[in-house]
Amino acid sequence: MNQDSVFKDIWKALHSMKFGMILLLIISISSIAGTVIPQNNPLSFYKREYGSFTYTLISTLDLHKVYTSWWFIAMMVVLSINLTLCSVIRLPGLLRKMLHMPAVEKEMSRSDFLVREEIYGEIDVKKLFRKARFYRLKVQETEKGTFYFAYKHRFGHLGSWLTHVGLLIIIVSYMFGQITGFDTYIYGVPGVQEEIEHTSYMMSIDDFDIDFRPDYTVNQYTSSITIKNSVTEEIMKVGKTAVNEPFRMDNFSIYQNGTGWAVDMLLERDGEEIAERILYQSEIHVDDNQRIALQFSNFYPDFDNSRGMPRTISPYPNKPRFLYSVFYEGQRVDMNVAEMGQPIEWQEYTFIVTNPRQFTLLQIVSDPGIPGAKVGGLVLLHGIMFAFYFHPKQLKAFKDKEGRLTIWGDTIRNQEAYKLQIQQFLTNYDKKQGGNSDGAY
Amino acid sequence: MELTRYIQLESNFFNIAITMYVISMALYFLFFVGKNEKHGKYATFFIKIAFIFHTVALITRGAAAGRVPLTNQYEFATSFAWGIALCFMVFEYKYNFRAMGAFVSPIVFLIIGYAAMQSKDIRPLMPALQSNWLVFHVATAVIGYGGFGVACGVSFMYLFKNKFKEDAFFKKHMPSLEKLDLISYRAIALGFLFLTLCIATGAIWAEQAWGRYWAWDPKETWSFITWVIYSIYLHARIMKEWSGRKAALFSIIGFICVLFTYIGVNTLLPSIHSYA
Ligand code: HEM
Repeated sequence: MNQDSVFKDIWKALHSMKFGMILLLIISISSIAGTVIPQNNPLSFYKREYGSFTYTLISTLDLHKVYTSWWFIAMMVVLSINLTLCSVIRLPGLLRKMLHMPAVEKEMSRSDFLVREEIYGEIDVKKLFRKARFYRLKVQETEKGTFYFAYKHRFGHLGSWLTHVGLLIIIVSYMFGQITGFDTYIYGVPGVQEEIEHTSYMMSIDDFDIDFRPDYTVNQYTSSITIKNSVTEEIMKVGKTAVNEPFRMDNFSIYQNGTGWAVDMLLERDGEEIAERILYQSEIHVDDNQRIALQFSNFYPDFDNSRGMPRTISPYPNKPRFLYSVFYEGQRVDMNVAEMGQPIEWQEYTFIVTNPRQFTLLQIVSDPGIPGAKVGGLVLLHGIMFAFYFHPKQLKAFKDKEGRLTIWGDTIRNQEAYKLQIQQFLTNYDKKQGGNSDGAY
Repeated sequence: MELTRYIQLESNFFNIAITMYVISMALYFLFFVGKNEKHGKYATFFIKIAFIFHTVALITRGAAAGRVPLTNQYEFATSFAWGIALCFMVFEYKYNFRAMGAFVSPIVFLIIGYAAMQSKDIRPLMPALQSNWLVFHVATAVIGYGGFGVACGVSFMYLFKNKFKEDAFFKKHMPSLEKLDLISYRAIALGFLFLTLCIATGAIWAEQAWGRYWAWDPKETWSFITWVIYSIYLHARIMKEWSGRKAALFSIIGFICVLFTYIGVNTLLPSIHSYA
C-alpha cells in the first residue's frame, strides 16, 4: 500500500459516520468507569481501597479522574474533529437540496416518482396547492406548459446538521468554560468580609437566615451579601443568594452552598489572653508554637443525651453544646462536650467558647462557557425538532397546453406516509370538485 | 381534607390502576398467544380504564402534596409507568397496532410494580428540589422514557418476528419488519427529543442549584450514556451494515440504560441525585 492511499483511508475514516459511532460507543463505555470508581480523591485513597493490580490500572489510566484524563479529552477532541469534518463536507449538498428548484425537463423525464397522479378538467392549481397546505408556490412558464413548484419544511434538511453543530458548540463552550473559568468558596458568619479570589472584588456577609418548617426540615437558606470594589471599597451590588436563586454579577455568580456552626473562641495562657477568633465547625485552632490546639468537632444546638448518644432535638440553640478535642504537644489529651462559656482547661491553657451562630458557605463560580452552551443547546434542540418533525416535502405539478395536470411529490423521510397523504388528498379534492382523475386507487 | 385521607384515596386509585393494568396485560397475552380478536379489544379497553385511574391517582397525590407529584422515587416510578402507558395508547391508536400491547404492557407492569414497592410518604422538599425546572426536568423525562419504553417493546417484536409462525392472525396483526422499524424509530425520535429536553432543563437547574451545569455526576453521566446509545441507534438505522437487527438491539440496550439511569444509579452508585 502506498502512502497516499494510507492517508486517504485515514482521512476517509476521520469523517465517516461509522468511525464517529464507534468513537461514541467507546466514549460511552469508558465513561461508565467514572461512575463506578469514586472520582477526584487523592491517589492514596485508591491505594488503600483497591488491590495492587486495580490500583496500578487506576493510576496509569487516570481512572480516578476519567473526565479530565488525557485520553478522555483526546476522544472528545477526535469526536469534535469527526463532527466538524462531516458537517463541513455535508453542508454544500444540504444547501443545494434546500435551495435548489428542480429543472422541469429533468423532472418530467424521471422514472422514480414517489407518487404521480393525473387530473383532467378545469382546475385552479394555486387553490389546489393551498388546499394541500403548500402556500408558497413558484410558477414557471415553459414552451410545453406551466410548471408549479412548492417546497415545504425545506429547512428540515438542516435538522441533523444543526444537531451536530449545536453539539459541537456545546463541547467547545464546555471546554472553554473549564479552561477560562474559576471556582472558589467563601464561608463566614454575618459581619465577615473577604476578598473574592480571581476577582477585584470583596464580599461582606451581611446576614444569614435559615427558614425552618414546623417539622424542623429546612425550607430555604438565604445569605444577604454586599459586593465591593477591593481597592476603592465602592459598593458594586447588594443582594441575596439562596438555594436555586444565585446572586449574579456580570462575570461570576454566587451560590448558597452549605452551612454549619461557628463560635467565638478565646484562648488564655496563665490567665492572659493570647488568641481570640471565630472558630468554624471542623476547624482546628493551633497556637503557642503548636503546643496547644482545639478542634471544633461537632455542635448540638439543642443537646440531648438521654438515649446514650449525643444528638440534637431541634435546630434551635436552646441548649447549645460543643464537641471538641484538645491536643497538647501533638497528642489528643481531651475530648468532651462543653457548654457555652464553660472553661476548657489543660495545663496552663484555658479555652472559652461563646456566641454560637450558623455560618454560610458560599460558592463563587465563573463559567464564561455558559452563553455558548446555551446557544449550542438551543441549536441542538431545534436541529432535533427539524430532523424528526419537519420533513422536507415537495409538491410539483405540470399543466400542459391541453390542460392535463400532472401532480407529483417528493420527500426524504416517511415516504409511504407522504404518498398516502397525497393520494388521499387528491381523492377527497376530486370528490369535492366533482372532477375525475385516473388515480388507480 | 386531611393528608392521610388523601393518601388513602390515592392508594386506592393506584391499586385499582395496577389491577386494571394486570388484567389488560393478561388480555393482551390472550389476544396475542390465543389469537382471539375479542380479547384484544378488551385489552385496549382495560388499559384505558387503568390509565384513567392512574391519572386520577396522580392528581390526588398532587393535590395532597400541593405540588407536582414528580419529586421522589415513588412519584417518578408511577409517572414513568404513566408515560409509557400514554405513549403506548397513542402509538397503538396511531398505527392501529394492537399486538404491540403484548410486548409493551409487561414493561408498564414492571415499572408500576416497582413504584408499588416504594415508600408513598409525602415529605417536604429540600431547598434544592424547590425549582420550577425540576417540574420540566422530570415531566420531559416521563414523556421521553415513555417513548423509549414503547420502542423497546416494538424492537423486541422486531427481533422475534421470525420466530413466530406466519398465519392469518399474524398477517393481520404483525406489521412488516419495515413497519416495526418505522414505529420504533418514531417512538425513539419522540423519546430522544424529550430526553434532550430533560438533559437541557436538568443542566439549567443544576447551574442554579449547584453552580455548574454539567459535572459528570453519575446520574448525569448515565443520562449522557443513554443519550449516546440512542444517537447510535438513530445513525445505525441509516447505515447499511448496522441497520435492522443491530439497530433494534441498540434500542433495547438504550432502554436498559434508561432503567439503569433511573433505578441503578440511585440504588447502586453514589450521586447527589439520590434524594429519594
Ligand atoms: C452524540 C452525537 C450525535 C448526535 C446526538 C447526532 C444526532 C443526529 C440526529 C438526530 C440525526 C438525524 C437522524 C434522523 O433524522 O433519523 C443525525 C443524522 C446524521 N448524523 Fe449524527 N449525531 C451525532 C454524531 C454524529 C457523528 C459523530 C457523525 C459522524 C460523522 C454523524 C453523522 C450523521 C449523518 C451523516 C447524519 C445524516 C443522516 C441523514 O440525514 O440521512 N453524527 N445525527
